[in-house]
Amino acid sequence: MGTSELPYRPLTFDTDGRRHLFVRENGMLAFPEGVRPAVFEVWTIEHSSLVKVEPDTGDVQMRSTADLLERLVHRLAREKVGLRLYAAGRPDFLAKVAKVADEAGLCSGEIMLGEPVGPERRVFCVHCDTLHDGVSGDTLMCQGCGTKLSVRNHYSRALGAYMGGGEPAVVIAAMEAVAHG
Amino acid sequence: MAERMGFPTSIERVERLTPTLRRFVLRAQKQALPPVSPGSYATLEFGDGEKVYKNAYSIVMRSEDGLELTVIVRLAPQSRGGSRFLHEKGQPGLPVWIGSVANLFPIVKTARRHLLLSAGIGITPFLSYLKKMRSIGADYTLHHFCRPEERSAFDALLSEQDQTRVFVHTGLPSEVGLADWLRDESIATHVYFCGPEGFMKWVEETTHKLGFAPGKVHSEHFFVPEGGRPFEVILARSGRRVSVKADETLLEALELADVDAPCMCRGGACGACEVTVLGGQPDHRDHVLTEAERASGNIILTCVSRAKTDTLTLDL
Repeated sequence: MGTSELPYRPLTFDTDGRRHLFVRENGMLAFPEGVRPAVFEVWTIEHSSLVKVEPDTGDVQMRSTADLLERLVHRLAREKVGLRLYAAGRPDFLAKVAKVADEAGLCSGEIMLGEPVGPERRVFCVHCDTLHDGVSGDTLMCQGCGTKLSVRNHYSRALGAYMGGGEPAVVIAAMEAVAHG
Repeated sequence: MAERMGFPTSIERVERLTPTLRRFVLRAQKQALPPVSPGSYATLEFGDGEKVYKNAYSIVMRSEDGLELTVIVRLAPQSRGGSRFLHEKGQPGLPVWIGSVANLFPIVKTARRHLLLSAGIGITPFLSYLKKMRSIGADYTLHHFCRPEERSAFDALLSEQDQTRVFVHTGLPSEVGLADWLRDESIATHVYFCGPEGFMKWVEETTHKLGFAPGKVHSEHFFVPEGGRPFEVILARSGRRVSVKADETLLEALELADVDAPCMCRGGACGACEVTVLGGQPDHRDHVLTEAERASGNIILTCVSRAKTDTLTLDL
């Protein structure tokens, strides 16, 4: 079936890269498989405001997702060719990292997304543009316009979210019946 | 009889740029020529009563009214005669048939920065790139490499360009420090390159070594199909035998024998002319097939590849 999901794959170090940066949503997530390269940095979200960033270390703790993403934007804007970026975490987190990487001009061989942890997705309401984080079901009530949204398999890389549309269940059922015979 | 695909034109103007480079402006005889984009090429057919040549050339420019196309042709010493014919007999008035126009080397619209690397005649696709990139305010740099005696010609060819972004070098890429410049490129840079085989190989290897992802590296091999040992083709469906002479390509021999063989770029770059091989060993010279496909020996691109064996049996 055709979907437009993000390209998730078990993480493995790409030996063609010259420098490697691994960003992960928590410290339990394993490093990419393979021989650890000489130039390798790990950024881990500790979910704690007590964390202080240590400069000049390959093992950096971040306070929050927002903190990590903000630093990633700055880092990628200055980064030279040869970097490989790996990300591990929930679909929400991976979507946000992919969006930052896309905006910085990385292409598919430069950003690797691990298999997502958990089912939670980010959903965009096609009626009022409201973004919903951490949606685990296939339906939700839009927090912006109150429409009952059904989450489609259509992922927008530009928005970093799945599309949520307000078609009544009966219409969706009819459409799917036509699409799948 | 079905109408022949393509566009009739004739040479309108010829300009000698260097002893080996000539600029030809072709003018449509009937309707406007098809639209082109930066990186497009045209397959040109021309000749005299004795021989018809079919070669692909990058389109340098299409006039606003669509009636004129400009190409630059390098005199290729090892060629099968097409470029020599144009250099010697390509005068105003010579009919030239434009068989097809396509683009296998487009500008990547999502790229943040474009680094263009060319050597010799490899500049031709970039002449149309430069015009477009300047007009849209893109971030780009061109490094062009040429022989010292050709420098003034390329300086003249690029004189209208933004001189802060366009550089001509007469030293080798490895000597002038291109590897260091490449290493210093931002992660958002896409590299495009076009030139002779030695130059292509150097850029391919260097960009790979520096960690450029394959999706950021784009090239066009302007490959002139060379001749080689003559061989014979057996067409399995009809049992016919077609001889391929030393100075013609397999595709040309098939066309001469009125065999309906597929083709598009005529330079081993697009893969449209792929044919199944049922017997014999192909001598692959294209830039399309994977290593596994080459090793399997059961497909061939007829526009550039030949045979290692005396006969080759094709599913035609």
